[in-house]
Amino acid sequence: MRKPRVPFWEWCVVAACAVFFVVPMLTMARFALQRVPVVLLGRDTIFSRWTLKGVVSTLTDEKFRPAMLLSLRLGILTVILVLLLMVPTVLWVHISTPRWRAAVEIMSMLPYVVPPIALVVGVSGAFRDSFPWLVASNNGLVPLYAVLCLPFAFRSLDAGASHWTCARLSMPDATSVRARVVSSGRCCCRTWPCRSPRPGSSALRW
Amino acid sequence: MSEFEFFGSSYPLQEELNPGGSLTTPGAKTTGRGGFGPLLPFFAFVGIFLGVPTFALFARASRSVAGSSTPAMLEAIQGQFRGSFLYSAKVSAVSAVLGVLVGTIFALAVTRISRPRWFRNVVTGFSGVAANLGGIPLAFAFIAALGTQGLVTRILFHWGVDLYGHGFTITGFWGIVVVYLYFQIPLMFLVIVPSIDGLRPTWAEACANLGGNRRQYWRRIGIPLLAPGLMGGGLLLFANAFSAYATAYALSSGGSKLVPVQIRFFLQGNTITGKGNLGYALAAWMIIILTLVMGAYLVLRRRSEMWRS
Repeated sequence: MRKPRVPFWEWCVVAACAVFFVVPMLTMARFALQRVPVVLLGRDTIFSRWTLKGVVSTLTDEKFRPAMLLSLRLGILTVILVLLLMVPTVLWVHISTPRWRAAVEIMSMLPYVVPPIALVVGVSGAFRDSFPWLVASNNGLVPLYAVLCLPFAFRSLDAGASHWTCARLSMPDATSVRARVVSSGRCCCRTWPCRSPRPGSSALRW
Repeated sequence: MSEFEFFGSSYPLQEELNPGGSLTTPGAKTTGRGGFGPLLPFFAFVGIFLGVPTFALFARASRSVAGSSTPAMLEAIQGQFRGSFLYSAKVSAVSAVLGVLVGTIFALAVTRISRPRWFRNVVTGFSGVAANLGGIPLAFAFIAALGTQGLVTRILFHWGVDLYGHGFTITGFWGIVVVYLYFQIPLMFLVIVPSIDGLRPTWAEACANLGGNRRQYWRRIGIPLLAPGLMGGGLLLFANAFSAYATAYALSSGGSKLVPVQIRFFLQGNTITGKGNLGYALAAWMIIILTLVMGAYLVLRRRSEMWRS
C-alpha cells in the first residue's frame, strides 16, 4: 500500500501563519516581563532583567482591583441576561413555533448591521434625555453588551437546540427514527411531541 | 464578530433540516401551535435596545447641522467625510481581500493535515478566540511588535530592512491592514472550512477518472463550488473591518481618518458644539452600508449551503 503523502507544504503554510499569530503576543509578553528598552536590546542583554514585578504590581495596584471586578461583574451579568433571554426564546421557537424562527434569526443578526459605535451613539441620543441613569451608570452597559452578544448566542443555542430536539426523539427508538430520517432525507422532529406526518407522505413509507 | 456558528455545527441531523426552518416533512403543515407570547421579551428587548437607538440615530441624522440648512445625512458624505468613507472602505476592502486569500489558503492547509488528530480542533479553537480578539490588547501587541520601538521593527532594522525609513507606520494604511488581518484571517478560516469540508473527495476522484488534472479540478469544480463561500466570507470580512472601532482608535489615539473614529470625534461633545448631528449622520450611513453588505452576504450564504448536504 502506498504511504500517504506527507503534507509538507501544508505545514509550511501553517508555520508561516503561526509566526504571524504568535509573534505579536510574544513581543507583548516581552514588553511586560523584561525591563530592557528595545533600543538597548542586543545579544548580551537578551536574557537580562526578566522580572514578574511589573505584572505583580499591576495586580496589586489599588486601582486595578475595582476595574477588574467591574469587568467581571458586567461580564457575568451579561451572560445571565443573554441566557435568560435567549434560552427560552430558542427553545420555544424550536418546540412550538418554528415559523417564527426565521424572524428570530434575522433579529439576532441585526447587531451585525449596527456596529457598536453606532449603537452607542444611538443609545446616548435616544436615552440621554429621558433615562440619563441608563447612559451614565456602568450597569447600563449590560443590555448593550447583551445586544452585541445576540448573534453568537443565537447560533450556539440554535445548533444545540436542533440537536437536542432530534436527539430526544431518537433516544427511545433510534433505529426507526434514523431510518425514517435517512429514507426521507428530512427530519420530522421540528415539533415536540412529534406529530406524525400525513399518511400520504413518504416519510413513513419504509 | 464570528459567523462560525452558522457553519460549524457538526451535529449529525442538522443538514437534514430545511435551512428555512419550517417543518420539513413533505406534505405536513407547519405547526403554529404555540403562540407568539413567549417570544415577546426577546422582541421587546431587541426593539428597545437596538430599534429605538437606531431610530433615534436616523431621526437626528436627518436634521441639519447648526449653521447650515442641509440635512446632516447629506453633509456627511461630502468633502472630508467622503474621504473618510473611501478610506474606511479601502482599508476594509484590502484587509478583506487579503483575509480571504490567506484565510482560504490556511484553511486548505489545515484541512489537509490529518495528523496529529487534535490539530484541527486546536486551530478551530484558536481561530474562535482570535477572530474576536480586537481592540486595545491587539493594538498594544502590534505596537509592541511593529511600532517605532517595536521588537520586530528593531530586528528587521538589524537585518538591514528599515521599515519606518520606507514610510511604514503602524497607524498608517498598511499598518492598520496588517493589524486587522489578525482577526480577519481566523474569521475567514471559520467561515470557509465547512465549505471546504463540503468538497467531497468523490468529486476529485471523478475528475481524475475523467482525465482532469489538478488545475482543471480547481477551475471547473473546486473554485465554482467555493465561490459563494469565498465571496460571502469576503463581504463578512468587509463588514467586520468597516465596523471595527476600538482597534483603530487605540492604534491612532483618536486621530485616524477611519469613519468610526471620526464619529467619536464629533460626539465627544466638549470641543465641537452643534456638530453632533454629523456624528449621527456618519453612524447612520455606516448602518446603511453595512445593511447592504450583510444582505448580500445572506444571499450568498444561502447559495453556499446548497452544496453542503
